[in-house]
Amino acid sequence: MTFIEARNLWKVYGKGEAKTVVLKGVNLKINKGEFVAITGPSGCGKSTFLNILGLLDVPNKGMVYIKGKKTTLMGENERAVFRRKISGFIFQQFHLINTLTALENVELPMILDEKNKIYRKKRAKKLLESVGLEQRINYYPNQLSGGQQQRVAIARALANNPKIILADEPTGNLDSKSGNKIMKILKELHDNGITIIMVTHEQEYTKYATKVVKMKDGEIIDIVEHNKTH
Amino acid sequence: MKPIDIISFAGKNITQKRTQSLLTIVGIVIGIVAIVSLISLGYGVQNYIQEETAKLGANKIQIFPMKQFGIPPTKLFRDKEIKAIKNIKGVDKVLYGWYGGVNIEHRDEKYFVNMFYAKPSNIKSVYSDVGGYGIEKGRWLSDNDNYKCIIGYGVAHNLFKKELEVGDSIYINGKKFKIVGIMAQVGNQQDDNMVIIPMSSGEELFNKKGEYNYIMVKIKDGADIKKISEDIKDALEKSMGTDNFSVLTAEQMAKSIGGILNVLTMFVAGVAGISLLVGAVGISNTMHMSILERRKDIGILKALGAETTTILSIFVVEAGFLGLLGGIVGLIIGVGIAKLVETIAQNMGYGMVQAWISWELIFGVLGFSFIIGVISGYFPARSGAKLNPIDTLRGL
Repeated sequence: MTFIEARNLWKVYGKGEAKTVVLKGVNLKINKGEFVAITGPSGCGKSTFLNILGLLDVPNKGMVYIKGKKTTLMGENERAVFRRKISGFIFQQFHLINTLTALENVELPMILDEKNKIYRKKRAKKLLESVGLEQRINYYPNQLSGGQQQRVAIARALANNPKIILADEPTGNLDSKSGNKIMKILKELHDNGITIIMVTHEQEYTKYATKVVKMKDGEIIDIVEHNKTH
Repeated sequence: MKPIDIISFAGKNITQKRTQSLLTIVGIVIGIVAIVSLISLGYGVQNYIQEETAKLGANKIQIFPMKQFGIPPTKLFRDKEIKAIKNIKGVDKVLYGWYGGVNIEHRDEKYFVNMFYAKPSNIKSVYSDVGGYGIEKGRWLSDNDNYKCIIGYGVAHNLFKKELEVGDSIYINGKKFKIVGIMAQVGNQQDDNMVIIPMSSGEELFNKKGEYNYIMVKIKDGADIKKISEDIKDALEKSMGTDNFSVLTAEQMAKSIGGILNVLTMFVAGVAGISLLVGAVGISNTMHMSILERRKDIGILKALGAETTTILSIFVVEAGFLGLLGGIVGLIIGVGIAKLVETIAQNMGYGMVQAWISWELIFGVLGFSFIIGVISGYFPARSGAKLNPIDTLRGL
């Protein structure tokens, strides 16, 4: 069953001479429960593609369907609600709020979704436990290592029980040991039925994916399906 | 996002940048301090004047030979005018004499005080009739008295190093006057810092004869004060051939003093307004900077699914809190200043200076300062809420 479908996505930045065409008519279907890895050289448009699939960005042309719904037609606020209810983002730069503790960072999506205080404290603690940070819940991001910050970010992405996790080079800023730990967590999430779309340029990590999408110069040049999940 | 969470989020932003927040609110604090102390003292004085007016002098009309204080008279009152006033229906008693300033000396100490002279029997009967005036020690002047005086409460107790007593002597313009009475405290500087002497001595001392610059009329009980003051005006104009004089009932006196106070209050309020404007620009600037600093956080919040209105509310509430904080600090300092001024003024004998502090003032000021914050934070907040999350997350 097709969960997310990108149809003929075009994205252009700038105008006139500075104009860059980042996506040139990209098409992709993603089924529920898939682990999609998008790879390709820097500047090939893979992050832009991910942002559009996660409704953080909109294409200039084309349409993203999620469960058959034309999401590109949604207003900004509707997309915001969608982002916090259906999806969870993980970034290369972690993007935690530095003035909030690990626990508060994880609580944030639940605060935005107006969950009550007792529930969100309990759930944030549980999520931090599940990524092995139960000892660090009151630490601020600058008191945590890169790998620990990224695990806080994963816990945050899971706060509102998302159906999709969108990860933009989640291991890009980490050493291989921390990177492996993050990938293990993502694999577990996938095993639990969450759809994962991950941008990476580390070949090694594509082995976890059920579908590897290769991009170059704003186009998809190859799609490899792995029949078995690992 | 729930309102309570928006408030706690905004509050956190303020407490985390304590120094910056404190510096930001200085402008608002100054404005609010000025406004609070002014309103408090201004209303206090006006209330006092109104109360005092109601208490004494509902039956009193004062007449001066000029339109406004500070302008020299063109023509002084003479016996003919006094007679004309006495003939008006409803007029009970007329006190007339000379009002001015003199230097008084006692044991090498010299001070400038108010002086009034009139016929002693006249003084006693009118002063004790219009209320508010009494003798604390000694007696009123009598018509046989020459070079004797009664002095105000302030002159007796506060002016000289050693308090003056009945029986002491003071020098007025070089002439020796014996004190026969001390007046009870009236509560205003004008009356308490007064020396009263008999008309005979006064006319001799100041070399005047049959000229007066002050008339006080006591009307009969139940008479129409408005009608009588109109009649007095007509009579004086006819007798003097000029309209350069003023006939003031106590109510009008209060009004004209109130008017001067209002002008003063408005002027200083204008200055306070400028300070508030500067304060508002300060908040606006801080919010602008704060949003620049937190572009990334805004991007994160948006990526996590915060709506534009949520971001807007967070920053607007933060700005409102900055304003409110300024209001609270300003209110405390302003009330403190008003109370301090009141204490100092009352110790100096200005009993009319009173600080007026009410719940309306407190909540009005707090609400006002919060709104100033909200308004000055709105535009920076709106520009922050409109940021594109992709750009901010990429550090653009």
